[in-house]
Amino acid sequence: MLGRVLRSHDTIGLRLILAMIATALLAVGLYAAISVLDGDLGRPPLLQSGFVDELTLALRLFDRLTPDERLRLAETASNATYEFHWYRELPVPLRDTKRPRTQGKGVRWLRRRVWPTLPILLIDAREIPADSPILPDDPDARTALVMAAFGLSDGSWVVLAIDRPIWGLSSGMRILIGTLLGVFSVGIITLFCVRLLSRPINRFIAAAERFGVDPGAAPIAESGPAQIKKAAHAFNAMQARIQRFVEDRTQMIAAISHDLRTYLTRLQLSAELLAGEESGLRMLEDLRQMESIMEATLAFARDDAAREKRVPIDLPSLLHSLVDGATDAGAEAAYDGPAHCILPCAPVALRRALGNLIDNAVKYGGCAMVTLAEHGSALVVRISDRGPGIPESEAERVFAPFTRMEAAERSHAGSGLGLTIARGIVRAHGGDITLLNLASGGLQVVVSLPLGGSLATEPRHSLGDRPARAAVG
Amino acid sequence: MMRVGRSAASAPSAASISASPHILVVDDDPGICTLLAKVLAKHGYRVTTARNAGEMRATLRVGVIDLVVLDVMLPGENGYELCRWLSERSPVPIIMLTAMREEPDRIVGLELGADDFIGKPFSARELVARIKAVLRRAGTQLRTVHAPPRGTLLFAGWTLDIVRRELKSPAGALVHLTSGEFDLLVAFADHPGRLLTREQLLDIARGRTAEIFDRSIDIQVSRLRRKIEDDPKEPAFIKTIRGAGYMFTPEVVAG
Repeated sequence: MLGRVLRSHDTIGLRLILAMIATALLAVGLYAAISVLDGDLGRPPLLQSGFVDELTLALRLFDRLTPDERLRLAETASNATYEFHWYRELPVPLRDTKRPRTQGKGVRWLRRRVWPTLPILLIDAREIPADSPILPDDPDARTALVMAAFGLSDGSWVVLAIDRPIWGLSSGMRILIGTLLGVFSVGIITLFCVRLLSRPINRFIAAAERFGVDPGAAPIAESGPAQIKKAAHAFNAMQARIQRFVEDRTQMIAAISHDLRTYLTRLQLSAELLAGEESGLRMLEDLRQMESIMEATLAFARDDAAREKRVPIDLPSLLHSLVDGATDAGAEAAYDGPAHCILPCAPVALRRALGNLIDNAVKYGGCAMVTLAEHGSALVVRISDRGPGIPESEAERVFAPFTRMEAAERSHAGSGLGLTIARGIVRAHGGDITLLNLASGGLQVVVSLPLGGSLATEPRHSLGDRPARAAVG
Repeated sequence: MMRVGRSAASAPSAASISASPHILVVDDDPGICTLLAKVLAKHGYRVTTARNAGEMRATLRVGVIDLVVLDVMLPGENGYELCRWLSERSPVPIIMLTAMREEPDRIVGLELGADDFIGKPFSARELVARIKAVLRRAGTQLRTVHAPPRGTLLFAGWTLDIVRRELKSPAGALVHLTSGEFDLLVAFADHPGRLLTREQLLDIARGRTAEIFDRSIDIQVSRLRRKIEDDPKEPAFIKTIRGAGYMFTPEVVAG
């Protein structure tokens, strides 16, 4: 019942109120528990519990009564906490203690509150010989003993012996313990409360971040306090809209590419029928370029890495294939690294990424020297060339879509998407690409691929087997 | 009984009315149909075109077809459905045309009984090479019905998936092979413990797909060894038989 009410009215405010109530209850509960376990802490000090009035009354009675009655009164008024003794004269051990205090703070206090006119003597029980009959037998009780002697108007004395002067702890200590308990209980509840409040917010943040890198991400669970639920709902609606938009765009791209391919095929076949004539050959060359640009653009738009299933591959085998391909095409390329090394990845996408980088090295740098090494929890592929390198100021720009560097030959001009696609794919693997101008001249492209990374073993879902991600921006 | 199939299944090329193979092109784009008809005719093939499933069936009823070039994206019944329909009824080889150059398409097509796959746009040269390869394969293997693509071959902990064209190492990692390397390895795994000459290897591997080796068999073998042998200098799987050729030594099991 209470649970249902709480659930139906779950707001951040309610959570705060509950947390505060819980804090207070815990603090009180802890204090009570400690008082029960150690009773002294729960009780007020002796001097604040009416004892002063009792003492004053008793002393006044002693002063008025006859000696016999005084003896009886001493017996009657004594209890477990303190004892009265009446003596005609101050007993020797008391009188002979070295420093019976007739002055001082304690005495002044007693004089003000209890016994204004007649003599008062505070005695340190430790100075009384241990075998004195006026001391209790129990040695522990003896050390705690506080004794005060009050002179009556006829010159006799009432000696008060309190086995423990103050209940429990000093007031400073009590304040300290109380404060600590408060801080402790508030701390505990605050921690709990922060978790209670921040968990749904953190979940929300994580989902928003996930959506940032994966447009196919599953919606956020709409749970938690009302405000968070509303925010999650709004977020999910937005995510669904974006996903629909991306899907539509992807389908549009697929449709366009299908049509384009049909025309390209026609052109290709027509050009081949014209082959032998120079114009036919030129057309074929143009077509080849058109096709490669279209392929790259589509790959960029589709974001293959996001929807390809992750499987472990033997990375050197892939690097060997790419390097061999470059060599077969007449380029200078070599691989230097371990013969086997397993990396979980999206193989087709990664092949495209590394292929693009090796192609670039050959195209702009004249060769592709590929190495592979393991650095901590990542594999690092380095692709070096002997080209002019890339000025520091251009290092970020070359990753932007449709940026083209000056190629050696016009026919080498690419789509301007090679690096963009490569970086997208590598980042989808939780890695990154950095560019390094070598001291010896040439550019080194450093690709780091984490071995564990953010790799799911399954492709991201929700967009099914449709191409998942269109380019944004 | 359908009359589709190789024009002379028992004696290829000899007993047919005309020696040139008859190709049926199924594509909904009239431009492509016309162009393909011209291009293929130029290469000495007889060509009939069909724009959809109905026309294809009609042509198959009346003509003897040696090979079908089938577009995946067709109005009405799509290429995959037609491919399945066709391969269930006839051993006629099928090459599929697709606008999607993606792996899953290829695999689905091959599983449905297509013999090869070619992505648009393609060059006539490429198509003719594949048609030749597929016809040659169909000619060498006397097939009653399309042999379903063989699943996998296992050797020494390695898994060779013929349909997906994947090689998995004993550690479970995909090992990337180029087309040529893959075909070569399949050729080896198909003939374990047998001496294979370079010519035989070239022949077997070429017959499988249109992939023509642009490198000598020796280079392909050494590249393959680098990927699958523990020590490529002391190969345990692909042994060199001096002056004769190569032998694939591990025991191969069909998976």
